[in-house]
Amino acid sequence: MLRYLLKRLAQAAVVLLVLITVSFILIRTAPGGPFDRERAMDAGARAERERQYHLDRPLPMQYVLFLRDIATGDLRSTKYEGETVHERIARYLPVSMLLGAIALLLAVGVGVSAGVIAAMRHNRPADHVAMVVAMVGLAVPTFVVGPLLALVFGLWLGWLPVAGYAGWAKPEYLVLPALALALPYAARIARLTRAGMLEVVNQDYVRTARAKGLGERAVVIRHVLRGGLLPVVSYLGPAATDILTGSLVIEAVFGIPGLGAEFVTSAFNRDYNVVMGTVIAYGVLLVVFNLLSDIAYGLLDPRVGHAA
Amino acid sequence: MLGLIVVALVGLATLLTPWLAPHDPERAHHWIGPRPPGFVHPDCAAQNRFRVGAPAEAPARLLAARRLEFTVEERERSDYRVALRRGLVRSITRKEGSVEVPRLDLAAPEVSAVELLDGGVEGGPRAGAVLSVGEPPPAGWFAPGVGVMELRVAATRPPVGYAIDLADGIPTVLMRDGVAVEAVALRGEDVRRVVADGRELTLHHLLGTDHAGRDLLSRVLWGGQVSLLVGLVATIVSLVIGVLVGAISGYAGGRTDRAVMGAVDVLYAVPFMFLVILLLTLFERSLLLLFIALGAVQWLTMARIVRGQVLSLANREFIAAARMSGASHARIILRHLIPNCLGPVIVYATLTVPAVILQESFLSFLGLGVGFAGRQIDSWGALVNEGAKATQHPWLLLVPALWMSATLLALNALGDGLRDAFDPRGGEA
Repeated sequence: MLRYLLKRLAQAAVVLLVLITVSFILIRTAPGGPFDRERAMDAGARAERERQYHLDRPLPMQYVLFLRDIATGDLRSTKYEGETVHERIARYLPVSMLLGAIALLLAVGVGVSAGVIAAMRHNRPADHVAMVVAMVGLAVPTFVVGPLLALVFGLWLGWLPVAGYAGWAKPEYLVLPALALALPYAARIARLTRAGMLEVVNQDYVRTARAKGLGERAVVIRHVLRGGLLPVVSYLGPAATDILTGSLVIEAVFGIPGLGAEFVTSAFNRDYNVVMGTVIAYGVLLVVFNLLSDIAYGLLDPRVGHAA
Repeated sequence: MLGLIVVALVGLATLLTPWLAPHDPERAHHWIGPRPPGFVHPDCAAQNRFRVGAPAEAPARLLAARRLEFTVEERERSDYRVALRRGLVRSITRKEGSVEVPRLDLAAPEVSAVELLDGGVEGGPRAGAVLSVGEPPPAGWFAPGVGVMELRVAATRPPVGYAIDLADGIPTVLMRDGVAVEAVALRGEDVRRVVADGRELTLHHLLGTDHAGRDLLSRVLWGGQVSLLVGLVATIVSLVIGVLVGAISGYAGGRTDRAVMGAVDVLYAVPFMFLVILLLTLFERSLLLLFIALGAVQWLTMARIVRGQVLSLANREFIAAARMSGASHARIILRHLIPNCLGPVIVYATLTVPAVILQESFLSFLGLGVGFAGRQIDSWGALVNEGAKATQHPWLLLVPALWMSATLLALNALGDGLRDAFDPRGGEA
């Protein structure tokens, strides 16, 4: 288990380095610099600015300085001067995290329950209904679900607010965005749960559990679900990626001041350092999530520890 | 099976778009269905004046006719200012003449549209509600902290028919609902139909038009061309990269295989969508860039699948036979290994197409879409985005959203069906 973890950690570090390097190269090879679009700036001030952001150094040196700035938290926004990227991310990230966490919980809760019901009622109407709904949920993209939910529940029925954000103070603002964000992943999790449970339901260890006289409920929860959830657990890492990606549009649709909205605005503003910082923040989040999902997988599946 | 039929229909409709789509997606037309405020009939000017014996003020293309017939829905517009105090309506002022009124009934049958001019929540105020002084306003109208809003209320009267006989652009006879009149002033916004010399100037729009008067059905069909083109080409890009990398890695085995698959594992964990967004915002956007960017995201799974297949094929007799007969590595890979793993490749490629379409639409939803054939044609994502903003006119959202969802659903169903057919015991991907 320890070797397995170390291997994963090393891989995570490589992923982050690749991400930072690729986005650094992209930004530095792109036409146009961060100070190109602003009012004409006299040469001295411009040189001063470029020096401040290390743009006057050779590229490899810029890369090294850039890594140093990331590590020491001294990366500065080129648009909003005097504010570090870390401060901006610290301001916007909690909003996205809250939304993402609710959506993920919702996706897992709804998805697993639907999958269990479908698997237990295999080839009966409940199964078919659940799978058709899941199929639709998978095909309909987040950015379609979001506006549709806003239209129906916000404008037509008037049950929930259409847009805005007020944190925990007004949780009703979070209902529609979280729902829209969770739906496609709930659908996928439902399918994975169902398939995983159907796979293990006929295996020997389940028959053994039944044979030793366990009740149906105990068999399902302790044995079938534990085996059947493995594909779901390994999907949680990618699901976190997808939910973060989805939050880009959901935050735009529902006017939520999160990191996704900040990322898109900064990209359009060519606020290079903020864009990079955001990409890296996302990268760290995802890597952590993949690690957690791997660990959970190892804990759930007794075979992993010995095999790896 | 149903999926196959829908895919075939959508594919056919998209291929035939230039002939099927009723109108040019970039040209403004007449509006059928609820019109957005301020939409002027494309054949009329904002103000059209006709007076017997005097040169008419109207677009030249109308004045060339000898007889003009207009169907006009005259709308009466009045602006109101609503002020709040402590959550209750304090006053309602009709701006024309500054008259205070106690009550504003927007549920009355003649009220056709309510437009928010200033203050308030976009999409909140609409017909069907009643505002009274001293009572709270309907929920969702006022944003917190803003206490004043201005509304424009349009009331419709029954349509009126005008007939105008012209000689060299000068009206000789003017009729209003069959009664001769001396002068006529028509607002382009109110004109619903124009018939010139017995020929209707406007065209039909099955799904209505958008805020700029462009035919929605045509826009959806043309947008589908962009989406499907990107979907197909990016899939082919991912297919080529994935199959080659997977086949070479699996065939070479050993250290090469471990290195390549390790790199694939690392790339898997990179959030590619963010890099694609970065790429599209930094560089000049073009179809080529989009193909490459999306194709580069998708090849990883393909490489894994092909490698797995190749590993299981590499030790079979026919490969050994090919090697004995002196075939080169390239020949073995291209002529023997790849053709034998086409089944799963085709299945996965079918599932890649909707995935890419989804990503392309996601990008164009964010405003990062690309034009097509040298024109600014919006793909489905951009149409959904426009529709999401036009809350007063829900069909602008519903039409592209449902169209696109149906297409994706059908493509997914097709892919699932193929997978079941090729690999009956295959699990969920």
